[in-house]
Amino acid sequence: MIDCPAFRALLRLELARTLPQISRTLGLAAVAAAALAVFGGVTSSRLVLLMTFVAVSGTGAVFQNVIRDKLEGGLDFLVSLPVDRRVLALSRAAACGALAVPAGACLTAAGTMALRAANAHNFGALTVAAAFVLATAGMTAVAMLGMGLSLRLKVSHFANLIVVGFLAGLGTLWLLSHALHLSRETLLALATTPWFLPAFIVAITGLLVFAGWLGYYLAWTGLDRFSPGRDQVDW
Amino acid sequence: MIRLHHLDVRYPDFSLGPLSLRIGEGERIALVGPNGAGKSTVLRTICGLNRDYRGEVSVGGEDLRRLGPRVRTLVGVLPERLLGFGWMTAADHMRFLASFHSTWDVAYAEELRERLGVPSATKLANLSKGMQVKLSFVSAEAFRPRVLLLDEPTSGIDPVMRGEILALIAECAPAAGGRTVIFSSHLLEDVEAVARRVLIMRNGQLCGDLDVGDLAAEGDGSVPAAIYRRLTSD
Repeated sequence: MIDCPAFRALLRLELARTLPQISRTLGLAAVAAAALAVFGGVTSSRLVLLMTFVAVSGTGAVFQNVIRDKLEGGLDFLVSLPVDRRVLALSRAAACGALAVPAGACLTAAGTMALRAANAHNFGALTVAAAFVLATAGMTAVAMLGMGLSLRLKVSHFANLIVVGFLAGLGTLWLLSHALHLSRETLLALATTPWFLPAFIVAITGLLVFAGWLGYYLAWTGLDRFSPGRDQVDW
Repeated sequence: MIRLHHLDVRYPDFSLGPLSLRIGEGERIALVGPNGAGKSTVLRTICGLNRDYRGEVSVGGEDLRRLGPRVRTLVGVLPERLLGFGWMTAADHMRFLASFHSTWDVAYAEELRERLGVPSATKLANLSKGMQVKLSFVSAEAFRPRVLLLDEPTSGIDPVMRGEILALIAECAPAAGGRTVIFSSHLLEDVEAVARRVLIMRNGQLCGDLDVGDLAAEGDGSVPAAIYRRLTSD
């Protein structure tokens, strides 16, 4: 099913146009972190919030590219290529995964520092690696879902999605900032129960696999039903 | 080469067919008709971009539904507007397309690009309308497809460029056969210059399938006059 040169070309295309956006976001985050350091306001929770912003912006770039494709005719071009639309969806999924790596690394680093600062855990290398994999997979799943949804949505529905996304983002930030203030005792009590770790890993992995699959499915079916020249984007 | 059998397309605001047609190898066909006659829909269906149809369509003896996107390795398409990413340069665009065609001839593509004067380092968004048409032509022709579909290749471009494009079309599809060319146009002089067979469409129906020689006889030597008469008569 996968035509390798075509898949590689599509993957390169996705990376080439998204990397500058990711670099800009990382640059902004670095400037913000430096400003915090200079003015003495670096706290672990602020760092996590900043890195969450980086991660969310990274996935936002994927979303933004789909919308741009719809408006500027890039999607017409992509579906006019002699390649199965499943390969298009797969290449975008792979690009989401590759682009989630720096965001996952930033989140993991900030999270590790925050937990160390709170003295909540002695983070070992394995824990850091697991956190990195989960963060990266999470970003990939979120990007895939965003891509899948944006492929299916008309731009007029896009406004609704922005409102929902904004509220969901605020909710996530609120949860994150409050989770960091959970007492050390509560965290340790939860983490030391025998069922906690396996249940946590199974639940998170299941959730990520499901979100990734759903994102791919939405992206593929969104591309599959797209009819160039007929599916005009309406505001 | 191409067979449409009871092709039927229904959109909320437009319907085409049922339409049956056979197009042989090496034919040079013009699709003419007013706006909304269904010319672009026929072309989009043949190259597999309109999948929402009833009836049967085959290209190169194989059913279009079975061919899927592979049909676009047999058919080169010049759409009404250049398809691509505005931020890519012409050279990037051609390199990208080459990844999808095992028969893409890099030297031939480069020769065509240079001959038509398409600047390789200019971004697609900055190319003039004429240059975009030329680049579309290079992209459609560089992998030497068995069929060329040209959707109004000369509309909106200056007479010099128009002449170059028409000469290229004639060159790519020698009268002796081989390459099949189907092009739609509002410019009846272009039809006379390139086509050997003319399909006249109105309101989604085929209302004329004529040889250029017969049209010339009908129009007292003028093919455009005969087509115009048929397009305007009840």
